[in-house]
Amino acid sequence: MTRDPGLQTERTLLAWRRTSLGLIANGVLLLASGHNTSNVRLGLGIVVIVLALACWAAVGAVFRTGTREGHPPDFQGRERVLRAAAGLVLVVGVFDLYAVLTR
Amino acid sequence: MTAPTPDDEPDYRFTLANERTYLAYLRTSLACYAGGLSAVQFLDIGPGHWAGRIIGVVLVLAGIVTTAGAFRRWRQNILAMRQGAPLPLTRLPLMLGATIAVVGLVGLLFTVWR
Repeated sequence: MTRDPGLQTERTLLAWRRTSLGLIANGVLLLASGHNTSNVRLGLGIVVIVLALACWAAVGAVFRTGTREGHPPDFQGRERVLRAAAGLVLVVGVFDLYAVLTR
Repeated sequence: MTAPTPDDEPDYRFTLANERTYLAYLRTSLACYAGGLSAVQFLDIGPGHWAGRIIGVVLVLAGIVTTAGAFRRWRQNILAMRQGAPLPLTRLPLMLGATIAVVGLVGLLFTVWR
């Protein structure tokens, strides 16, 4: 039944990592688009980068705990975590929409 | 061995795979946002950069729809897996693919004929 618990967990961790990197990239783009032109966009860029780094750290912590205990991360409360992730990406989308409209 | 009861927690491998699919959708949205920002930044055509602005708005909106759709999709999948039902179909990839193809083509034309 559990043939590759480690690899499944690792692949999922890497998927979370890539998503965090995508968030960081969007923060950097927001920063760059606001450079010399808008303090608001600079501020939004910094907010997104901080949230992305928090996401990176949180994901690492959750997966470390799960792997140490020898089983994949607990699925209790999974829906709330994924809903929060979608919310975070939506917020970044709204920031980016603002940046696009005010360019 | 008993038969799986409805509303059972599925094999964690499938749950994790569903989660990875969801994350892949989120990354696609993030890429749409990044493309939208880049379009406004670099497609300086027409008065007030209107071409880049329209492409940017379309891409960011496509990203927002994808984010919302991704969560809905993840939920539909997990419910179907728990009930042992077939996974529901989705038009999300079609919508995304069509949008990106059209926007890419328009962006290419503007870049070539600037």
